[in-house]
Amino acid sequence: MSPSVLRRKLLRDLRGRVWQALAVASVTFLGVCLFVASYLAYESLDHSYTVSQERTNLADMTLDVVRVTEAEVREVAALDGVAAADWQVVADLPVVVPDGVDPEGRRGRVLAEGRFITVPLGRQPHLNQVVVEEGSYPDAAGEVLVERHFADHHGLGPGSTLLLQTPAGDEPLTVSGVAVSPEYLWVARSRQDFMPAPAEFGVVFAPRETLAAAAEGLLPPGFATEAGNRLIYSLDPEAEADPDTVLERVKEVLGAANILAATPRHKLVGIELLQMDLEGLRETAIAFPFLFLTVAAFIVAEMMNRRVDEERVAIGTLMATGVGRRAVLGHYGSFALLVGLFGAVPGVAVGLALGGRMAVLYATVLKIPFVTAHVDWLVVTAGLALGVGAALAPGLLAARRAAALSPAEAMRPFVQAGAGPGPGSGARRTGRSGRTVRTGPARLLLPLWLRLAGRNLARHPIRTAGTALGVAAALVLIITTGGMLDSMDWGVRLVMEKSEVYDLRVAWLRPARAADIREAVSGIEGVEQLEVILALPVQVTRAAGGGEDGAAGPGGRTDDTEAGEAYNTVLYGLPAAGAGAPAARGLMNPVDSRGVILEPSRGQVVISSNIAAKLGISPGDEVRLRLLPDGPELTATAGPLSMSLVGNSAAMLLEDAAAGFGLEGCANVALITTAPGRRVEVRDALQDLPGVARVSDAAAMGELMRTALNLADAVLWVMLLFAVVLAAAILFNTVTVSVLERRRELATMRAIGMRAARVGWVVTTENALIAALGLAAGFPLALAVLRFFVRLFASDLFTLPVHVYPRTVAAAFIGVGLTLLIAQRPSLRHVARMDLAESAKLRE
Amino acid sequence: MPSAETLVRLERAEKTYGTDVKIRALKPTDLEFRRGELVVVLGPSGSGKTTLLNLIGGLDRPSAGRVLVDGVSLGSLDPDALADFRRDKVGFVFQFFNLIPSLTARENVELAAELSGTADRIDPILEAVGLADRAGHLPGQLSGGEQQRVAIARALVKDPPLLLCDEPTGAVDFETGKAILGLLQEAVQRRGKTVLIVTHNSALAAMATRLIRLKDGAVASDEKRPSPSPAAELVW
Repeated sequence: MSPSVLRRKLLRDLRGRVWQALAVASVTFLGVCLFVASYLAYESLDHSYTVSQERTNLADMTLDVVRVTEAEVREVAALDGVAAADWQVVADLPVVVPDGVDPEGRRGRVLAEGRFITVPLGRQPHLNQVVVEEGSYPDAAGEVLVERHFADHHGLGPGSTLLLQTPAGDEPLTVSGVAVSPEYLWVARSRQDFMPAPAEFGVVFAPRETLAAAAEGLLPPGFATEAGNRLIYSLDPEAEADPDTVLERVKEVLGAANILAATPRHKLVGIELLQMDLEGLRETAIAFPFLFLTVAAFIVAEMMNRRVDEERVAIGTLMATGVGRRAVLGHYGSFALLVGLFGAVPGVAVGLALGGRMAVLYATVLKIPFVTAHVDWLVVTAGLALGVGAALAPGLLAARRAAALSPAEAMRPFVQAGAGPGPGSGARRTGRSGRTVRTGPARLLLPLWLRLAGRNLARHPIRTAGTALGVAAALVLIITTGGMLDSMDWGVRLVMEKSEVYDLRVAWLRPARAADIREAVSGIEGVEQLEVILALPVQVTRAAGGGEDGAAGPGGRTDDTEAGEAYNTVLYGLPAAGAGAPAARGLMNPVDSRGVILEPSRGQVVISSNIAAKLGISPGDEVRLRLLPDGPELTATAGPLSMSLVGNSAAMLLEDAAAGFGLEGCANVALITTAPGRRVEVRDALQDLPGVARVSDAAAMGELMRTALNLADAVLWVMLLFAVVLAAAILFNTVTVSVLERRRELATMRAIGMRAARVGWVVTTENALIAALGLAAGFPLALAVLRFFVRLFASDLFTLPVHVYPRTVAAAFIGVGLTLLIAQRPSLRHVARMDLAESAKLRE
Repeated sequence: MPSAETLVRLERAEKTYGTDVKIRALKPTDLEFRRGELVVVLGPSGSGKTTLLNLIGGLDRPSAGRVLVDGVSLGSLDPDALADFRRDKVGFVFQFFNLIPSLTARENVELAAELSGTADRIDPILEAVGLADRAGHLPGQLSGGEQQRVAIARALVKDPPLLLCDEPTGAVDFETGKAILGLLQEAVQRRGKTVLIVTHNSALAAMATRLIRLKDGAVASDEKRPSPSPAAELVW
């Protein structure tokens, strides 16, 4: 047979299996398209972040310090390995937006917390430059730049006014422009609060002179004019100095005790969050295409192996007439290659087009200042190779089987398919041993249709295992995604219903007498419950000798946000249960991942599990807490570990915290519940209380969380759709192949009088058994994968409790089952419509 | 009018395949088969033997005319009723046995018995076809002759009045073939079945009580044979 005839056969084979080929091509297309688009978008965004940080000279290292002077900055700048250094004042101050938008969406006077960051007047700083997108850089006293997110929320622009609240009264500031900064592309207040509502928190870039004049009395003496609380420096790339060595030199200049936190650029909270987000995109760009292409490979393997089995006689005949093994290999390999190309080439083309758009869309949402479209041809080539390879590799394996056939063996006349391996195998022919088989007790216990279905699974163990694996994969995908959503929902419920059950949280600029706070707040009409607490910035360290030996501690974990083995967080001083005002107890409670409220006892501190993990602290260890920036220190015993969904914290009894830090009788935060329908009114009244820095609305926080949940929900549905598509592709293909190769058997059943519905029932039973196998194997695997992913994404910024609702499990099981039922419909229809006369004559 | 003994009646039944290119597999045919007949339908390939068998067995529908079995016109039956017809009235014996490969010999018979509610007949039938000791074997573990015996047992277990056999000895050797034919002859003589065998092997004509020759889709001859030979005496 000439090669041109083989080519014609190839084309006819493709036409004859057009739906199966299309199924493979579609799954390959999706996999390749998703890979190319997502990975290119990831690379473009990663590049855009880097470019944005480089073009704005974002410092390599940021040191939060008690105080740094101009002279010290010059000294640091002169150190070996340091290219440039500068200082800033970073202060969170109460600011009023006269015509702002409150969390309810109402326009009016809104009290917010402004993060004031100093910049030079009239010129960009050398380090940590900002990109002015609207208006101009401040060149006159009293002018400031407002960060884009805050500006957009409140509708601020050049010429708008902000009022800085000071003990002396409101200081007006004029907005000269709107800017973005790579450090605040994700606006986070701290590692404990990285999703502040834009109505309540924003970043303001103020010239030093402006802040010094406006915030007099709010800042320590000399701040903003000659000293600051943040040192930033960049490394000299030519010096190639070790960053840790340089940091040590800087510490020598500033004094180690002066340094509160040393944070490399990539660990700045906003940048780390963006990077986590970006990593998520990268993982998606790999994981999902991997799934799709695995499915494609599976289908091709199934399809090609069946085809080789079906065409044994033809293959034998071809070889007997002189067609070489290489030609047979090429013929069958070409089929897989073509199917792979049909999917991969359009996948690459569409992926290329989508990748750029995805990057731009993402960059626009995040307000990235410098967007660079990036086409990495290596990614494109990899996409093409993966797509073609997914089809070609299993295709070549089947082709090798075809080429390895002995012509005489392949052309052997009809051999009844038995219980052994593939048709015509030697095992079957030697199987006529006279041994009685398959007449065990099962025959007496199980009905024939069930035995038949079960044995068909055993007849094709690889196909059965493959399909069960597909079902398991679909279940893993659904349970993992659904479980992530459940865990998120459970975490939010823990926060909203158990941990933070207040409506409003009011923070004072400085601790005040608790009695005064209580009196001022309780006088507001509409306030129902009130709890006054302390919320203090502290640095947590494990006391020497506490718990296990040093080897189990945070040695080597010089966490980048703290100086040495320490962690900066917020400490809540909470009233004892039943003490003081029992009715007001329980508006803030540390909880564990099961929702059990943890009551700190006397001398005990309850810390978040993620802080404990970072510092190697176990319950019972001695823990040191230092009040930031340079306050006193206390020691407490670590109690049970708490769960923090967002950020992290520590909690102890109010009287312990107050006594330890010299704040007896003081509080700086009030937690309030309001009468129904009075929340907004109470919030407005609270904003007017003297000394109040911020009023946080739990409803706004809840809204943000719900928005995040909605996003997760959308992702879940997309993933669910993927899972259904994958399950359908696997099941459709397997069931179709299974029915096609058993046409004669099924036709015989119908010929002897079995109704089509009953034949369908046998096929359905088989599929149900496979699904049961897959589900049984998939469920524990799904839980393990869910735990793995939850742990993978856990950090000191975000911790999810692992939780799966029974409804999710039920939906996953039912969903897979329904998919199977739907996927088998075409082949069952085929059974019902098959030409019995023709099919009964077929040779297997 | 068909007599009370008439089991199968074809009235101008014909079958045409294809749409663009029409192939007339069976020309308009009138035939009657009585109960207890062993009919051998002889003819070369393409003469319409299998088409005739498929029409009578309800595996195919005539393009024109009618096929009546036990007075029921098969053309009027929906697919489920046709399945019930095949369950109750017909037993098929195929050239390539068509056993379910994952079921043992007994279970293949049991499958048919379950359908017709005749489970008590399984063991006697297996005994009758000489397979009692091979009942637990899968088809792949049986010889061709044994497989065909299972197929006959499967057909007989339902106790249908009509056995339709398509080249039942086509895939087995001479001795085995004779044994198979013996079983079919016994089904007629002892059980009163009507057996219709289509074959191109003219040696089988000797065992028939009636011999029909087909040529080019039409009945070329139809003769009664009052003294059929025992299957064991056939030679080919």
